[in-house]
Amino acid sequence: MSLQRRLMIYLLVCAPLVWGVALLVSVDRSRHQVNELYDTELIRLARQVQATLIASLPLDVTTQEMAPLPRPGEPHSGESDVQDLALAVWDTQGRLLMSDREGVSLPYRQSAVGFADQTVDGRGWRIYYLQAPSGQLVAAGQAAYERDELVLALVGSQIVPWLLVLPVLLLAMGWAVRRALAPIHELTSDLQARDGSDLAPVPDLRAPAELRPLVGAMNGLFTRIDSLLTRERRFTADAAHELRTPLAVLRAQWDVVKRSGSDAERAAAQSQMDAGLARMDRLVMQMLALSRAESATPGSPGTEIVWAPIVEQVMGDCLDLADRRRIELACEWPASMRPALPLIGNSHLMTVLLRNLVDNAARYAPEGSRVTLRMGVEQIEVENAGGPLSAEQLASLGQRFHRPPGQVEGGSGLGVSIVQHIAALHGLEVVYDAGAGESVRALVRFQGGGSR
Amino acid sequence: MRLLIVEDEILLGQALAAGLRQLGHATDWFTNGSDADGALAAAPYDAVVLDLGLPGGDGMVWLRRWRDRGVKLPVVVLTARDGIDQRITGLDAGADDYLLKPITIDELAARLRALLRRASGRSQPTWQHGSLEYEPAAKLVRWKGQTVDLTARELAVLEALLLEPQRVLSKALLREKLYDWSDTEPEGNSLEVHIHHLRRKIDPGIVRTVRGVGYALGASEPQP
Repeated sequence: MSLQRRLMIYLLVCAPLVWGVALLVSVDRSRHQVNELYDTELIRLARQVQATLIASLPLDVTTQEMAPLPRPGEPHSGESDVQDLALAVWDTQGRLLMSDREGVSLPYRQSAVGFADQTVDGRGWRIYYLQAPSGQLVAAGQAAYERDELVLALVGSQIVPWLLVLPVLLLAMGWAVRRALAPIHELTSDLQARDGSDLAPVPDLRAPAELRPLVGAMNGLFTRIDSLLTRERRFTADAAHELRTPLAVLRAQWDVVKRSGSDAERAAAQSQMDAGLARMDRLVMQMLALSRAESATPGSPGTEIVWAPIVEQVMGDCLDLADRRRIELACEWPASMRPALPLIGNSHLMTVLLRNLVDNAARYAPEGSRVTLRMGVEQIEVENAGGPLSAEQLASLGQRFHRPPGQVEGGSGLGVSIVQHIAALHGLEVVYDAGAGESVRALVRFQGGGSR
Repeated sequence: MRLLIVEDEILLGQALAAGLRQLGHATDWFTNGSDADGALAAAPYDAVVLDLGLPGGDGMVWLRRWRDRGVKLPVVVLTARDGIDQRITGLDAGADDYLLKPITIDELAARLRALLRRASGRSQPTWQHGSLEYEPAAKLVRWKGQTVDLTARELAVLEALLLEPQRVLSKALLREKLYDWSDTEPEGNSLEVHIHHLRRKIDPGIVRTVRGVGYALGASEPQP
């Protein structure tokens, strides 16, 4: 449901409700005032009757009618409605001494004192009983509807202008709501009018205070999506570019296979094609690994890394390559059974990291040399013969798809990128030590830990 | 024709060279620009296939250098760089064609044929020399309308002669057009053998011997 509709509904329900409550209070107050007024009047009437009439009445007198009052509607009756007033006086035995026409039917109640609400001849009456010191009972009554009429009249005079104003009020409320929500509509139409690829931040200066955190959050999201998209686009572009060459290799190799005349020629071409496929396979796997490492979020829950199975798997994975290049693989563990590099993280990613390091070492070390994986307490080290690397070579390490020139081995040029990504995810850094010496060492250690 | 490939990707270079050789082209392959530069001065190539991302100097640099030096050889750039501006730069630097990887060897060969045809001033896909018709794309030779069956090497000799019909080609040049440096041949008089076969299969007058110099394309009509 739209915010505007919700606000309108609340207002439309609440305004009449509050209005109704006010009306009830008003009716109650009016009734109170009217009662006060008329009750006082009745008391005064009863007192006057007692004071003026009873004293002059003989006690044994038979029922007397009072002089008739003007009938309603007669010219000199004014606005009075005398049928609504009743008077009666009884003696101590309950005989009616005096009454007006309506007073005849007032009930005699011997010990009644004060006000009583009674129904007489089907009409509601409010009656005041006054016990005269001489023993007579004076009753002054007034028809109840008289009071209701007055209350209604009083309240009605308030209700009518309210009712007349109500539509105007509702219209005004609608306008106000629409007007108050205008910034939201503006923001919406702003966003709707946007080009699908436009991820520029929304200016939040015009936004009202309530919307500013939302706009801020949205802009943050835009920025993140933008950088994600940029990264993805770059990856796709890189991938498309990098896939061209291995594809070209396969294409050309396949053409050669197709056209091979002799079996020997075909066999040679097919083994070449195997190499081409392996190269393609490796490139695609590495791209996927990089993509996965990049999409992994830092700080995701991990488990304590148990290095032994990881190292076993890595060594196993690199065995083929090492055999082919006559590289001797070795692993050294910390002395006295101390655990190597205690780390909480994703063991799959750590396997990928170690595999890439060892694979790179075995791939680029001189044939017939040795690659050593040293699992230290504070760092992991992969050492291979070769080097020293020039500053230029060091700088180009980790550039995506960069492959050292003149390589016979079909690397993907992604290994170092993958390693650095995974390391960063785990708060680690990868440092290459290839200064002087006859060897190149890749060190994996905690960021900021240890000096160069 | 004799081709020079400059491609640092070893698997691709091997495959391209092998594929073009299968099509009967003497092909040499180098992985870097300076080796290729040396080869260019040493052998009479008909066209160059040049990769751009080369170690020790971009292919584009070598291309400019060759063009500055006045090398008129058709050069086909074969690269993974697919940007429009990169193509423009490549063509402006003197490339005769700009091909994107991946490409089939057939297409590459067709492009090379087209370039060679243009370089030799022809526009028809069929080369005509009197009663002799040659379709390089189909490797088809017809003499007076009759198809002649030739081996790849015989075709290569005929093609070299047809490319420059007015010129006398020395035996050394013809051999260089015929054999790349990977060949274990040339076996002495094999060029003479191919010429002999051409004369036998087509017409005795199709190849003229210029004693002391070499061979040239012979009469365009059947000898009486």
